[in-house]
Amino acid sequence: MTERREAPESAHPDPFEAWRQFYEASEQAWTKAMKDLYEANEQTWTKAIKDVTTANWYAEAQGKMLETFLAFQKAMRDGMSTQLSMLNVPTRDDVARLGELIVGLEEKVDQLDERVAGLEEDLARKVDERLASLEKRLARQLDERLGRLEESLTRQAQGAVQRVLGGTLPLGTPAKPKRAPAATTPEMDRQAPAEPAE
Amino acid sequence: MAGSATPRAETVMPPPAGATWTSSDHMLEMMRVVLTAREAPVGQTPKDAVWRKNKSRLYRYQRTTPATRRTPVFLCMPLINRAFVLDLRPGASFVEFLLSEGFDVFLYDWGTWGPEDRNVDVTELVTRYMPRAVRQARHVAGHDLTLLGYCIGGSLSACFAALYPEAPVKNLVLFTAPIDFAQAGDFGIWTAKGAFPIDRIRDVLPTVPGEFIDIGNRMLNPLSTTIGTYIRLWDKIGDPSFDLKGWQAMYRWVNEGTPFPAAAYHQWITEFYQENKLVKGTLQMDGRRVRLSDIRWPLLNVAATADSIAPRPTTAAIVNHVSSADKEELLLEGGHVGVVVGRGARHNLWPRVGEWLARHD
Repeated sequence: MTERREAPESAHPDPFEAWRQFYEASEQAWTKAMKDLYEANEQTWTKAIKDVTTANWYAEAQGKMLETFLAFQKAMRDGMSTQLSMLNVPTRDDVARLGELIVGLEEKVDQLDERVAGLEEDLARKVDERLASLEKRLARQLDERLGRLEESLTRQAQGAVQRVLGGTLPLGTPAKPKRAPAATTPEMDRQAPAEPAE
Repeated sequence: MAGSATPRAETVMPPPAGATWTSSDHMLEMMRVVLTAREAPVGQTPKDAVWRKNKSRLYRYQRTTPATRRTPVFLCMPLINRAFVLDLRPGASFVEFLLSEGFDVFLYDWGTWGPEDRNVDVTELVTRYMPRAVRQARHVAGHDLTLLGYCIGGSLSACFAALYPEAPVKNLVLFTAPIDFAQAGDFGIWTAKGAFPIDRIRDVLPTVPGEFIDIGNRMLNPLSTTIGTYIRLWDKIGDPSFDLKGWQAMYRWVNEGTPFPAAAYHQWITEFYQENKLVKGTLQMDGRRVRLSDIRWPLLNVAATADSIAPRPTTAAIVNHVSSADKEELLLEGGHVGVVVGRGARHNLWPRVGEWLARHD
């Protein structure tokens, strides 16, 4: 609520005193009455307004008002544009055109960005595919060559063994190293079984 | 008369708790509340801009903990309002809710269009802006997205979903998105062919001012949205339980409309409202037909029973036109804005959307 302090005394009467007393006594009641009036009638008044604003004739009338406003707006804008051009001052449209060029430039950059991104994706995919294919081929070739190398080494090893043994071993027979005779005593010789024939 | 000076009142604002407010008190406080509403803090959830194109910005909201849900949410906002509506204030923020549910959240803010954007049309927004924004969000998030569109953002999202079924999106959610304009309510009457000078508007205005769109919105409920706003505020002023900051944040959003590029407005009115091409399947964008039947992503369509901006017939059609095997509709009591960001939304819509998103994670 309001705090009151004493006003300085004046020699002249306040011409608005009576009104102010009347206002302070009744303003709450008046405010409430107006508010209640609005709340009681809001729906009715809204319906009445909407009955008008949703009619086709209203829409057409509104459209015509809008056209008139737009014609006025255009005339103002064209007139202003002419005046500014004569003064060599850029108009809003001039600045907007520059802005449009910049936006267009940004669009081109975006398109380039997309193309580069697309190229990167394509390249990455093709590189992956190529690497996978190379891996497969290398693995297959490596296998084949290792196989041939192994075969060749085996044949060479067998040939060498054959030559060492004086050709007594048929080819392909894995060479068994001859055991060196163990050091034995005559007693062990008499007891040990005979070596099996080769 | 000497000696009859009446003590003058010195006003202390606001009046102390429990005090009786006079009409002057109400008036002064109302003026203060309304005039300071334009500086009301909004959109306070921290976010980073991860991509931009022209005036539009793709934001990623910061998380204090790692996301527990796999599928990020991409919010596609309306063209004609400021994007902070889904992040109004702490405690009244759908973005905050999604973050608390463990989602990674992106928001695509179209920005404030200028005269240089007069030739930007809806086709360009759907075929040049949205695909890149979605791709960038996917790249940043590392996972396919849920696309959630609100109002016109929902209509654009539906067009995008129809044109780009191969996009990195796995779910589609629409909040009060108008799709079928055959019975578009008051807006349909006011923008009817022959009555509405849409060609003239496009030729004269580089952008349709936010105030123009706002007048149209207010005419849907002329008294309630004008005088009624202040009468209701009059009643609530001085009530300790009144959420003054919340009122100011919403008041700021309602009164900060953004301009609509002329070409986009022309296409929106002629091809969507007047000719209803989207639902008829005759809408073409970039030489390709936009067919709602090409949408196969799981769909959640949220609609409001008392929506005068997108009346029920406009939002009901989508579920009958998509080819999605998994589609659901949530029809809620309330208006266009109320069901999404009203006081009841945090107990009604948001948990249900959160649950649907979790099921489709």
